[in-house]
Amino acid sequence: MRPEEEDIQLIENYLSGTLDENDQRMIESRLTEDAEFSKRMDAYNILIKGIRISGRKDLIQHLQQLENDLESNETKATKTRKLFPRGLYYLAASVALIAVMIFYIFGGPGHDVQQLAEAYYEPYPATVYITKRSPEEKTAELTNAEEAFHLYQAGDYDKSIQLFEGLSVEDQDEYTRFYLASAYQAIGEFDKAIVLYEGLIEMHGIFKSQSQWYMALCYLFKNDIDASRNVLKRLSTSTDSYGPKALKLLNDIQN
Amino acid sequence: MNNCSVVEKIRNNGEQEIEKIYKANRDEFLSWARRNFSCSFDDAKEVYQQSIVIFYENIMSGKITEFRSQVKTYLFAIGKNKLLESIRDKNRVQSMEDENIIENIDLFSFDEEHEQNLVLVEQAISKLGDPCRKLLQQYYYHKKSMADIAELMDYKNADTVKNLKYKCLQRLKKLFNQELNAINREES
Repeated sequence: MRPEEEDIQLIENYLSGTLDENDQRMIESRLTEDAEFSKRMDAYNILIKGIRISGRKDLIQHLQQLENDLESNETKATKTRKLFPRGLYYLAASVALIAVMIFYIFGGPGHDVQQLAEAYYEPYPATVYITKRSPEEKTAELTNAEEAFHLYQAGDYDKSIQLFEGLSVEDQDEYTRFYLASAYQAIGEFDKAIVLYEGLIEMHGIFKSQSQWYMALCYLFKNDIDASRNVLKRLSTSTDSYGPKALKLLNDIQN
Repeated sequence: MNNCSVVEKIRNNGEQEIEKIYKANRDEFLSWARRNFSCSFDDAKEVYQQSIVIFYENIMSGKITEFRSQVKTYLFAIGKNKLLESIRDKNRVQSMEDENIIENIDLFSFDEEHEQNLVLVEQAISKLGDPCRKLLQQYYYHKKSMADIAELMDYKNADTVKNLKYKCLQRLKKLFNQELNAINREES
């Protein structure tokens, strides 16, 4: 090994703290006595640090590129969703349901859970907030929350998400969170919807059963059958209308 | 996924595994950050990327050898610290430079000359080009062994890489000195 190469190795080990005590002391004494060695240490220290910073910058650039790709894919997915108005979703759901039934009748091999999710999924109707308003109130200017509900009802989920997300903390409540989750689910942003549904379930509020039901469907869309089944099992003991629905879907998944 | 194997997978197959982790936790992290820290979407993304980088560096430097909790929990804990830090101090780029990357190598204080020299090294690295740039980054940043680099970059064996690494470092040093001399000439 060349003398300078040996020094580089020594310097690297010293800087990474992997030298034993004797070598450590030897280096420290050499640093005080040998000006040339000390200068070399400074130079390699800065070079190595610079290489690491350039490595980190390249990694960040790589992640940024990945992020750009993901955002571009999200935009494409949103545009595709926009091509299908809400009426067509019902039509698609009906077609999917028929397809599933045919599948069952003819005993086809293992059904597609995502298709099953499509068959069961219908966007939650935006009736709750609107019916809260009295006729007098209906004439007043719409608040952002109300506007968001209207956009949701009209099937413009992207805009309703923008408005729901922009609401101040005081304006956010169970209703806005639930409809935000529903809007995310409607445009296929299942992970975002699941996070919100989880929060609503933990609150044990008025949307607990609905959140469990829609979260189970999100998992099905994601092809995560185990997670969906777990949620449905919990929901199946519910005494409201979602209990029997959950039980039926559970059976369909298991078949 | 076995959390212990995640460390191995990242060590063996860095970028691809990091991409998977990035995609798997991104949406949840961004929603969580925006909900709990009232930050913008862009700020949440920036913090997420920083968290991923720190997560990666901690694994590659051997600070993490196994996970006691889920990858997600660890990643969110880093993110939480970064978000709290960004609330305390908006100068995030500096704080990121100061921690982690420096490790035990940070024996010298950050003075103006030191900062200027780092900029010159970066300029020298950009002039260095591949394969030297890639090789040095693999060794010093990604902490790959000589044998791993030989396999990754299609060299004969670890000795070839070791020899090449020495030559690349010498070339970088020369380029750095050229940059330094150019600056000194401009100043005088």
